Amino acid sequence: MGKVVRFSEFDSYLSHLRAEGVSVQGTILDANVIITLNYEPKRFHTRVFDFVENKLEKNQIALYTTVNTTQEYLEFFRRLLLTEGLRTAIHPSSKMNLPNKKKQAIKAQSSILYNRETHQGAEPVFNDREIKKIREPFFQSGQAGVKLWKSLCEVYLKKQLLLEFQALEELNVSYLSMYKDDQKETFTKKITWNDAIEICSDIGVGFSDAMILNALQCTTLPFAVSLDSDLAYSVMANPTLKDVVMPDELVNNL
Amino acid sequence: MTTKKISDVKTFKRKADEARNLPISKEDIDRINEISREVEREENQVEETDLPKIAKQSDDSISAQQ
Repeated sequence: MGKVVRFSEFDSYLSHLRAEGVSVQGTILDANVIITLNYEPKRFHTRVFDFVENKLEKNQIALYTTVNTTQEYLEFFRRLLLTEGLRTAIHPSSKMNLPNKKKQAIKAQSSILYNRETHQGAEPVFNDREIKKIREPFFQSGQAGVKLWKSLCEVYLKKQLLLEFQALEELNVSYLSMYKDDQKETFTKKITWNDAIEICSDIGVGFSDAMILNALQCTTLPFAVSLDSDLAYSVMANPTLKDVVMPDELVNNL
Repeated sequence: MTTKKISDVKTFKRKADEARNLPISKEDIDRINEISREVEREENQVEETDLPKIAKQSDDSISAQQ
């Protein structure tokens, strides 16, 4: 065990697992896979979408996540929805007339983002610091300023974020939990923080990655799907870990 | 695992896209514009009360000329 598998190799990999008698009931998805599925500008959107639809769905492989996946998914869409909303609000065609100082605050951060997009190929999404910088002058304008910011959040974020969360249910992703009756057979041992720390400290990967690999170790699930090279490096450095499946290009660049 | 839940990635994507493309109503825009005017009125009042009045004192203008 402990392989990094390309998307293009998945059919033969799956046949090999089945021939060896490995039960391929499900897989763990990294949060970046779910975000990429849902957001077209992401670099691997089409490849990931095709993979989930044609390889996982068609082979009736159920999808699992760890607890922090929904948080990562909603956090990305919080920033995306606010970016798109605030940029729309100050667009010349917008019928919204925000106070000049607030418009300037949005424009300033939008220019920084635009530079990042054009020079570094970054995705058009404000980071948390930029959103805080935009919010600041609203809160410096007393109760009316706070009311204005809250209204913008209500218009651009509230319903949309709830709908994004509900859309996630269509993906039928289940949280891996030792305490769910219908998952008891999936677990072979208890998930512990000690094991996650062991995996993290092996090559210093982030905890969300370590938690995925640790959860995989504690279940009968044979592989995870990710877009994060950290997961691949962990698996490459530690032959006791299970497999990770990734787009070809990412594996080629390791 | 007793029941296996299989995903529907197309429906997921369609519903997520709908969420991102929710139209903003005229009422919402009017409400935001009204609050924006309120903010500007308050900011203008604050700016007016913050204007330095000390420069208008005759002593200062004399000392400034010296």
